[in-house]
Amino acid sequence: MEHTVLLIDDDQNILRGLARALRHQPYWLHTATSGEEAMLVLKSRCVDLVVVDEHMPGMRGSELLAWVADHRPEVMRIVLTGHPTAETAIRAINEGRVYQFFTKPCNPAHLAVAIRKALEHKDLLEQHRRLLDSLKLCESPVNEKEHA
Amino acid sequence: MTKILVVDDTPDMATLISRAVEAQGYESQVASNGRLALQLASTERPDVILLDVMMPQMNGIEVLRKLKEDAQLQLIPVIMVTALSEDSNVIEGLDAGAHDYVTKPFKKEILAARLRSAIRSKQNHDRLLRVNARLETEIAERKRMEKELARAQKLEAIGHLAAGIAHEINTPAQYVGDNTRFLRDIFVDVDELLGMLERLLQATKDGNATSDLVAAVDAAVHRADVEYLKTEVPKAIQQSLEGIERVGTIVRAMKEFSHPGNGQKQPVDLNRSIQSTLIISSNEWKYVANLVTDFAPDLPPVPCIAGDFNQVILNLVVNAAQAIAAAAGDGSHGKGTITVRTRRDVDWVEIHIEDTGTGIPESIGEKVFDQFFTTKEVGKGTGMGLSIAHAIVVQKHGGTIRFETEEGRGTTFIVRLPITEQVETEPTTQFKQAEATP
Ligand SMILES: Nc1ncnc2c1ncn2[C@@H]1O[C@H](COP(=O)(O)OP(=O)(O)O)[C@@H](O)[C@H]1O
Ligand SMILES: [Mg+2]
Repeated sequence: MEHTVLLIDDDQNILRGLARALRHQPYWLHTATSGEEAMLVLKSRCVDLVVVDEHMPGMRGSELLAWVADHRPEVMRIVLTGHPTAETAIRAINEGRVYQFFTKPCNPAHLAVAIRKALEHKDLLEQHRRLLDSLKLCESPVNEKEHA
Repeated sequence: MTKILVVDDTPDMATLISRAVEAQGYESQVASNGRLALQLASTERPDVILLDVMMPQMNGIEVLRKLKEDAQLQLIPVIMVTALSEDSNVIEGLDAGAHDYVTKPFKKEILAARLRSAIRSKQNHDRLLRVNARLETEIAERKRMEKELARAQKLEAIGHLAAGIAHEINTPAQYVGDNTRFLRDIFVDVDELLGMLERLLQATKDGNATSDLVAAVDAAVHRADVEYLKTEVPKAIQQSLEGIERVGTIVRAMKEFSHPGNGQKQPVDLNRSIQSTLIISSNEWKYVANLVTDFAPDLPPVPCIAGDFNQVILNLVVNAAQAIAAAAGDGSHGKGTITVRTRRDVDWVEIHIEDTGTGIPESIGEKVFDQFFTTKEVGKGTGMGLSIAHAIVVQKHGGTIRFETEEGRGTTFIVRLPITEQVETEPTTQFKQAEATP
């Protein structure tokens, strides 16, 4: 199954540069230039992973991450910020429960590796959940459990 | 013990006065002529001098003038001793700085009273001198501290800016790097394709281009994704150049902002200075506000200490951004606006920094200029910004700073600077002190 990755940054040039860097990666790339726009995308389509900038007009990256952690907990989260502060890092990790934290400028090859690992991790988690569900189904075949 | 110097050329009279002095419990010394009197005055430092006016060689008035010319001795009170008939001497003596006079023959009580008064006056004077000296060191210390504070505020502001500037540079660094790597990677394919094309060209020239070779070139064209490259490569180059330009702009602005100068006023292009300050502080405002600049094209150079002026603009812009952020709350209502205008008004230049922030409540009013007055939480506000701006504009540049505000709508700070250099009223920075509120 093909994955979908959503890149969020208020600077278009960052999005274009990353899109070029990640063009051969085995997943679909989408971009959004604000947290608000990203929320619309997340509500309307399946996204497996987000790469989020911290400083943006309107919704901050950490706010978007907190929202994703609450409403789309299955979506993997990576931070890419040009202004790393202890506060952003702590918020991203505690409230956004991010998978990895990158600082601009970063080598996109490292970012690509992190994205792949995160997606593998996500697949494993889903597999694990499915297995658990089927185990429960076997144990209590009478009580049909519905699952997504 | 209190020392009295008795100056009289008549030995009998000298003895008589001496006795009267000692009877009051003072120590007395006698000088029989003016020269000796000056000598003893400087070696013994008496508390009071009783000076006979009529003396041969150097008379009393001359001695008095010499005493008053000497910085070390001029503070010793001198009581002139004159005969009743010497009215004009009394006036001349008092004019020359004598403290008082007694007439011969004198009553002991009168002499004693005049001595007491002279001694008291000397003691008061000495006390004042000591207090003043202490006050002067205190003032010097205070001025030094105020300078330190102004410097500290600037450093703090710059430290804060540095993080923002790092962000402004790191962002283009990211995509310039991405784009350059992209060009490097695709060149591998392009190079291979060029090699194929060369071979095809050669083969065609030699008349033995095979369909296999054509198919191989076709495959290479496909691999290199030539159509994609034709649109992407120019964009990647263009965007990288934009990034480099951005970094250049920031670095130039930084250089201009930190303008070391020599602390002296120099003709400054204020529009340019303001522009630089806005660029390096962009990280402070760009997420909450749109910026509108309206610079007068006819602004003459203004005598200014550039570094200090930049600090004023920075403080005002940061305040404007913070007021907008405070008003906007979560930013869901969109950005506010900061408008920066410059105008010439006859002999003055006016700078307006307008925001659409919270406004300043009437109850606060002019207190915003007080040192350490802040309504912001620790870490965001120090209450230094406006007091320093006030000191720089008013004391250092002979200008004015004021604001117009409407609660809930916004605030405009207006700085006015004279175009022609003025005589400085205050040589050093002085802060507006917080007034104690009853
Ligand atoms: N543009 C503005 N809009 C609203 N309030 C302001 C503005 N500028 C200054 N103030 C008020 O004046 C106070 C003092 O400002 P300042 O001296 O710069 O210190 P600080 O910004 O560190 O609090 C601020 O705390 C704020 O209450
Ligand atoms: Mg301030």
